Amino acid sequence: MTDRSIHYTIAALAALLILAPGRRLAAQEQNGYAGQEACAQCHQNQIESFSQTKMGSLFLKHPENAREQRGCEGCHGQAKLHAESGGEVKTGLITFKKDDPTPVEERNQTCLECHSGGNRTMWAGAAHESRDVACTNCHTLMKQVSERNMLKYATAMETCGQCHAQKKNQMQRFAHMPVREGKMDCNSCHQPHGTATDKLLVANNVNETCYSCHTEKRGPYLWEHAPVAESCSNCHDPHGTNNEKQLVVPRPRLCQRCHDETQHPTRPYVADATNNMGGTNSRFLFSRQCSNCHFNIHGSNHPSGVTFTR
Amino acid sequence: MTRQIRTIAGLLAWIGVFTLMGVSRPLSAQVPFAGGTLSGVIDVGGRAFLGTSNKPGDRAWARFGEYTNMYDGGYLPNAHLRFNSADKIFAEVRAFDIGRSDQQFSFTAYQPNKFTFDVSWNQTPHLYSTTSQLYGGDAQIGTFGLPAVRPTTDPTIYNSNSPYLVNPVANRWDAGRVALKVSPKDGWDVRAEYNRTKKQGNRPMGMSMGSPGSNYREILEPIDQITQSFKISQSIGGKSRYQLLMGYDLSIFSNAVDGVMADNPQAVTGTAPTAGHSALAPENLAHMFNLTGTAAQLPLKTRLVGTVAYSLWKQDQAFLPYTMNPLLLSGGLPLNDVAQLPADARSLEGDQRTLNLQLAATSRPVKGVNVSAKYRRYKTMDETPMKEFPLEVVSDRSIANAPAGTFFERETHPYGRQLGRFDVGLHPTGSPVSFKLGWNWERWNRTETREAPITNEHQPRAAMDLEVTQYAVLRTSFSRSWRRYSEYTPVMTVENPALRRFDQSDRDQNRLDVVSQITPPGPLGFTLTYNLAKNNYQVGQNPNPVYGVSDDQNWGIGGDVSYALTDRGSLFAGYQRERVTWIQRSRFRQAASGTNPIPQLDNTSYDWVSNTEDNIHTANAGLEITLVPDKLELGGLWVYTNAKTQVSTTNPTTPTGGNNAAQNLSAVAGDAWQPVTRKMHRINGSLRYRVASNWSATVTYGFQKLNNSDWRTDGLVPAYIFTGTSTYPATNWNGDLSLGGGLQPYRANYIIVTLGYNIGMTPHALRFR
Repeated sequence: MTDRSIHYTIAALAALLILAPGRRLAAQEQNGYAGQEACAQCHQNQIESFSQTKMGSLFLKHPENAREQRGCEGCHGQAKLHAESGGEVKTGLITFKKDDPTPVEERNQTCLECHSGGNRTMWAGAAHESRDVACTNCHTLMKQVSERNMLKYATAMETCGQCHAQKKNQMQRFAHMPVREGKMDCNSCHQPHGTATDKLLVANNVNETCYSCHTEKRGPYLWEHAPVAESCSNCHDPHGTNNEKQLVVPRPRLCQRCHDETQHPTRPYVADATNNMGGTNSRFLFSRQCSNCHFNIHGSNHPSGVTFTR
Repeated sequence: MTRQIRTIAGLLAWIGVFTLMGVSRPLSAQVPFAGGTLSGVIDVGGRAFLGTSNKPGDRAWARFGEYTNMYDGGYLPNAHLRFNSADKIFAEVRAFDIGRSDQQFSFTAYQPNKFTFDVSWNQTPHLYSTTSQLYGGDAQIGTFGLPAVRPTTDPTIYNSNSPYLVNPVANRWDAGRVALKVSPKDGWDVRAEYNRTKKQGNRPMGMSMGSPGSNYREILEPIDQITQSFKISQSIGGKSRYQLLMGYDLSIFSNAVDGVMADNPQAVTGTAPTAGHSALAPENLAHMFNLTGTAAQLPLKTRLVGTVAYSLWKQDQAFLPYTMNPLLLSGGLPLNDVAQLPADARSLEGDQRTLNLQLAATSRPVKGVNVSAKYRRYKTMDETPMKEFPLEVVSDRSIANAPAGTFFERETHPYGRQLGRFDVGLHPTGSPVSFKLGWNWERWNRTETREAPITNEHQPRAAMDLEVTQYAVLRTSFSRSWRRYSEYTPVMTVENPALRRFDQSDRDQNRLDVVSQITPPGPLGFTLTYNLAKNNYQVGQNPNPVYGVSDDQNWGIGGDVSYALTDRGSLFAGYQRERVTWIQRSRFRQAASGTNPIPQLDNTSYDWVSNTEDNIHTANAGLEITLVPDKLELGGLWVYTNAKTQVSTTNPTTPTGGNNAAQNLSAVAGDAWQPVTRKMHRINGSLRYRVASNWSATVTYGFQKLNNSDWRTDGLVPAYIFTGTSTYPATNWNGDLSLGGGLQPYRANYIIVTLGYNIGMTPHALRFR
């Protein structure tokens, strides 16, 4: 199948779907509300901490619409029966707790009714949505835990680390980006609500994401290093590694994944009692290894920089 | 030390007394202010090391203060003010580490559904080395001199001539941001944003001199760069059936230094360079456009998302001359003049474009069934005019002329990447199991400048989520993929033709991820994770054995446990063990020389196989406890990492067939290199005491210890001696000058004491660094 026929087929299918008549979601029935005061009779502590949050301030003190005016029931649903039963009956309520029988999709819909659009535009079909991750797996609304974004834990690293444990631990490695120091966080590179990329990157691909801070690497260069132009992750693991510069493999083995050692022999270490240095071809092994000479490995703008030494 | 222990014991005793005497201190109320209410927290304090022996020395500071300012002294670690006006305008000011080189500020004002205004400032130190030594001067930015007459070729004299200590080798990023989002009407948001990041300082860089003896010199790259970006975007549709997002970004990179010059450490003869000249990152700019449209509530509960993004990257900085060496001539004219460059090749006129197209559809045709499909195409296009050079200069040393009638041409490597994805998810109502089956297809199209013009990869995937009970969830996913190239043509003729570059080579991949979360009723919770990724490159059309990477794999297993103390906090701990291995095959290849007239480029007994292995242990434990409600809190975190990287290399067969026994011996890969090890302990413990309803005092104890061993840099001195023979001149010094910047181990013990004032706001969670 040619590229052109792939594109035409996809475009035709998309047009067919868009032009087809849609179906509106049924409006929710609105009855059976107990009122905010009824909630406060038993849940005063939660309301107190909720009121300190931005969202709580809006719902409880400055409501703008009918949903916000309902306070707790704006999200948890109608609680008249619950209140009248002294808290025994929870039917129809969305508790957002781990034992809540409400399907995740329905729970999330509660949030999306206000928080659709913007960053959530690509939520449907994105990695987290398709694995039934609930908004409340990552966000907590009843108290201010994180400095921003109402996260479940104090930092994005801890919140994402609930499932992405390996990535969280990589942040503790020797070579890492300043995530654990609080200078950036997972959201600096990833948009967990969905983007055009599989890894939920904030830009169109790995390189464009990296270039948003490392603009000096963007070029274009007179002499391009092809694997650099294709993906920074060919050589770097941004989550952290045990090698300098977050390289996935220590040099010179990193470079030898693509280049043999023609005239650049990399003999192994030979102990030297005098100064702990050694090796006949030490300049290929010590200090910055290959980059001792090939400094401009990301690309060179020098007329004599074809091998990235200038 | 005894004195410090007494100090800590005294502090703890006082806190104990306060605790025993104490009663709960409820928060003070928010303060009426300008028609609204004001609340906030401000902490003032300082850090002190527990004696000089517990403060890392100047030369050991590099890793300790890598991204943060860890010096002692007073500062404002935290400030947070929030203002709620009567007309629903909220404003917040946050600040961290005020008065230090790593300070952060932010101001946000917003009115729900009307506007949000953000201003932020974030300073991040980047500390590379505190042990680097530079020989010679750098009085002029980007120019690293040496005495005109090199002092000596004896490395001991070079070193004893006292290269000066560059402390620190560092740069700092100062990032500012202003953003405004307004909502003119319901479902319509407009955003504008300006970012500016200034990077100033230096970092290590190398420069090859090439003569005599292929030497190099490590110097400092001057960093004086500014990146600015302007972004504007709007989102239309909000909660409606159709949504539209569109945006434009302009990003501008400026660099005040276009090149670096450094004197050659060796005395020179003939046309060998007295100095080298390297180009630094060229100034550039990028225009980026993006448009995303969504349509929801389509038949079969379908939602469509389409994206078009187009970028234009420009770069036209003037080239440096071929060389700065005036002794290199072409047509009798020195090549150190830009006038010697071809008239149409004095700058790049760089014009590169990228196009990203995506269409995704998700559908729920019946309850419990989720179908999604996605097609994505990313393409780069290089519209830069052809640049041709009749010659090039190697390391400012020698001229390499293009063969008669030809030129050295700029090679570009545009590529296209297509991705197709189809998934079907099944989650029968009421069933504890949900399945997802999918198929990925990825095609790379490259130019003939790369080895494999086309690669296709197919990846069937399966995932199963099992809700054993409402308290136990098991998430698993497995995928197997195979990538095949259409043809593979080595483009670098000097390299082994059997070499397969790992990024284009045939490859089989297996991935398995398992996450199990167990949160039974009660205080305990567990998470167990396991992941495995295995790549095998010795498959498909690849020769056996394959040169380059033959296989790599990484796996990790770990677990976290937490224990919740009802309304009082929690205890938690975790551990993860990871192992990463890369196995690759190469060959010792040496061209012919005077003493070795027979080139040894394809001597199969000169093969070696190398195994690079990372073993990493990461452990943590912590607690967050309210000892006395609204009065006394305790928090702590311990993180331990132990990582070892080992490169082991062997020859599958004994090297034979060289020019002589010595050459055969030199082709022996031999045994393992010394391991590179990193062990790090970090402990932070904080006790916060609410002195009064408005006041709190916090004492934080911090401990860090790094044991670091890296044979490639430990003990490195500027003019280091290597063992073995040398051709220049009669010593073992090979003419290299390095900065000698190794990272030293350290130990730090310190306390931070802060006094906090709050009005109507709970003091922040204890924050550890």
